[in-house]
Amino acid sequence: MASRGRRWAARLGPLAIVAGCSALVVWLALGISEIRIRVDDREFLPQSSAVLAVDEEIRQRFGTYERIILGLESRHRRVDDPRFRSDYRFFVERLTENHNIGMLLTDRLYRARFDPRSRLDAPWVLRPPRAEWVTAALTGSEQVRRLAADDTRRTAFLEISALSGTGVRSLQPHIDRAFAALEVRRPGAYRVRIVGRQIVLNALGEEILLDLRRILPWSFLVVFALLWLVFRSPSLALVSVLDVGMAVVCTIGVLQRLDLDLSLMTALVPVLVTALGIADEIHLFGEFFRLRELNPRAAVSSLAWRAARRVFFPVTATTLTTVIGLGSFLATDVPALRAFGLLASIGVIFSWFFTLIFIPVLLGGMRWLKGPEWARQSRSLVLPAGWVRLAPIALSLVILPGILRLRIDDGWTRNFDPEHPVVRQVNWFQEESVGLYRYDLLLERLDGRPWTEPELLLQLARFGDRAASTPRVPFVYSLADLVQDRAWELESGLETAARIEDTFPRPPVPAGREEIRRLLTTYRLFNEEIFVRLFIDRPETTARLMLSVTGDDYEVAGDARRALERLVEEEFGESVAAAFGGSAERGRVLIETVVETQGRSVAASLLLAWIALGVSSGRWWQSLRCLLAVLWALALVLGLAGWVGLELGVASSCFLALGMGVGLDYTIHLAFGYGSSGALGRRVMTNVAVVGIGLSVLLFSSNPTVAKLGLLVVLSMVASGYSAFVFFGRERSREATPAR
Amino acid sequence: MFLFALALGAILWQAFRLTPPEPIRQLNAWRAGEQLLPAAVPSWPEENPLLYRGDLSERLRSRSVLWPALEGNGTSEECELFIRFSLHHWVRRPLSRRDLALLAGALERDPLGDFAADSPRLGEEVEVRRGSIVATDLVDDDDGDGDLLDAGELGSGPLGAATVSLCSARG
Repeated sequence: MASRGRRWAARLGPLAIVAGCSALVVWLALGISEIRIRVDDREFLPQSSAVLAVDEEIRQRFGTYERIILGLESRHRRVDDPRFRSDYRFFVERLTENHNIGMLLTDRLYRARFDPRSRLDAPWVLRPPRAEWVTAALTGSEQVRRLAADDTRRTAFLEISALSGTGVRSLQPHIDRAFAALEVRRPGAYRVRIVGRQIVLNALGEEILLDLRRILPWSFLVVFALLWLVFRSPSLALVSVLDVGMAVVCTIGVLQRLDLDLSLMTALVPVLVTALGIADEIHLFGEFFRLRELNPRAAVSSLAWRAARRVFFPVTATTLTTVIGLGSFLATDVPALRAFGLLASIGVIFSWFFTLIFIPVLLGGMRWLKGPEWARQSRSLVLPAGWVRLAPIALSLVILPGILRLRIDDGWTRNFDPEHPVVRQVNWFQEESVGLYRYDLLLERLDGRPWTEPELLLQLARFGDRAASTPRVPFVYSLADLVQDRAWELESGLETAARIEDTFPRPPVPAGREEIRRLLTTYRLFNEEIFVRLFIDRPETTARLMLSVTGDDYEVAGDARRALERLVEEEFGESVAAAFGGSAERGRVLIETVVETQGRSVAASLLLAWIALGVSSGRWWQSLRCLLAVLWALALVLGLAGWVGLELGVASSCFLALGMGVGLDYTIHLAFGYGSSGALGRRVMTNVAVVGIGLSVLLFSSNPTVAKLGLLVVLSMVASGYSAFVFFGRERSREATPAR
Repeated sequence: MFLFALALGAILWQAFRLTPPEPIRQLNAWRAGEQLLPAAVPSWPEENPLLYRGDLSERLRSRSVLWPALEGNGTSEECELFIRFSLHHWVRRPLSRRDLALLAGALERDPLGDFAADSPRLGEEVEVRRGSIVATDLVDDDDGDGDLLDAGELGSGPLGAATVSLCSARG
């Protein structure tokens, strides 16, 4: 009776495992269709970072200012040409048929301006500007000159409030419809340009999804082909793909169940899980075929479970160290990295679980399997002495100094192909106007004096002029410009009788406080209070300056920031407290933080991995050698990156923690694994090749940053594999390990 | 295995602590009455506020920004002066009868005027007066007191920006 029960249990056990795993996969897969895509630069910033606090303070004191720029570009006419104006009006009328757009739109060029002439049919004072006024404003008013039209004067800009990616996306059909109507009216005469930070982030989100859809099937295909090649068995390759596929589905399912989004970082996880997942399978399959060779008459299912038991320690240990490497991201305060670390760790654990639970069930049913020649023989793979004695010294001397040449740099637009339409639009806007990325500089007076005092306003104007003459800052706008522009508008408006010449100059900052107050008051009267509130707070002791920068990359933002700090010090000394916010500052802090965080994460994960390995194996010196091997490998990759000029950025610097987590696997297998070092060496080499090639599909990402990350990860794996041989490749065979 | 379980537990613990940043909220630095939407005067066609039906005072208020440097809404004042700055908007200035008289000089009474048909109840409760202000007077400060509206600038002729003053008839 008891033996009958055991037989039933033996039969039902595998079925229960298959049913349980399938149910888990199906349950998690059900939510995948609801997954959201989001790219938000704030996710890459430490939540306690100063720039987020400054941005929030700016929002509280000056209001939210997130805009997209809509440019109507004529192929032949200037913006002050009457026909352009007529077509522009037609376009804007079509656009504002949508009430919400009409409420959120600001027209900097053709909105009504002060007109002192009396008209019985229009008894008010703000009217559409005359053609000659517009022409004059394009040189006389800083706001019109730089913000209302491009430098060639063939594009007029409209601004639309843009808070969320979804909101911005919903504008597109209305813009398309309005432009289609204009195309019917003037075929081929115009083009529409849409530029904005939110546009870039939305496009990046779309690219991420497209990239994932393109790369993930390829990574499955590559894994399938490689395993077929390695084990000479399509069914085994299919089982492997099934295993990693289940792990990927479960991982994405967990992402959705945790109410997280697919982002620049989490989108990397499926490919990583696919590539890392097969590492465990290679060890399992290798052991399975070795046992089968040794016990040809044993039941296949019992051999499969025996193989699983025998690789349990090294596979669990490598999974643990990989999880520690990836989990080290959780120690940061950066949501995007935390999500990435969490999800990648979960993916690796799913893969471990399916490899040790699900795969043996399938293996047990595949009696026809015959292992490859290499798996049945314990042929030694030991590198020549020169490779493990002299070459490391030579490599260290040649490559490691490259670390000193390493540069930190990144930018959002570097996540696109340089020919991507979004990049072209951003570059065009940079060339022809003020650019997309800016610093918000808060200047708070410590002596309590208001910035509306003429002397202080003059100081602000002087600072703005000096800042705008620095190479990285092409445009500055402040309260002083607001006052001067209004003075120009009113004075030019009074020039009703005479023709306004192009040279009509902008008046200087007024000498009296009453005059400044008068000019600022007109903003309220003209329903333009929002313009004033963007630049001065209520007590008038804090002014905000908007400063465009010539790019969104770390180098530009860093240079600009240093120059501005120096200027603040020179111009204001101890009288003001300065704080920096805005998209340029967020980008700068983001890159700096992420790269610094990587260093700390790697250090923390090395320490944790050492403790974990030391405790579980009881061999602390051997464990330390494992870590030293990986450290040396990563240093080689960093040195190489320095020599070839690969900059470290947000995504690319993640290779450190990934390389640590994965690279440690090879040293663990060689240092603690079962079997002869020759067989282990062969398995490790196979592992490096298969996982490395699997991950190399990242090189084909349309996102240059992801491709760079792929390259660095693959290089770090090759280096780690080599390093494992250098440190452990020539050690004696072991048949057992003293694992606890 | 214990360490592995510990790592698993730590990951599960972190999984439920991970929340993405809140979406950016729309915050405005302007207060009630200081700004109408769309900001500035649009260059596209719009409705004429006075063509709406209903109470004149409400119609004007809904399309008005408050005169600068007035704390609160000035609701305690017995009169309101509306000055038309554009097709799109007016500026509202609550003031006393005396101040209105100072601004107006010889402002004539125009009990119902053009608005009577739209506002049948006005005649019973509100005195409506129409006038105008010369455009340049709206942006200069003759007496240098910081108030751009100076004594005697409110006229009754047709030239300049239209004005409507509403005073409580019982006041």
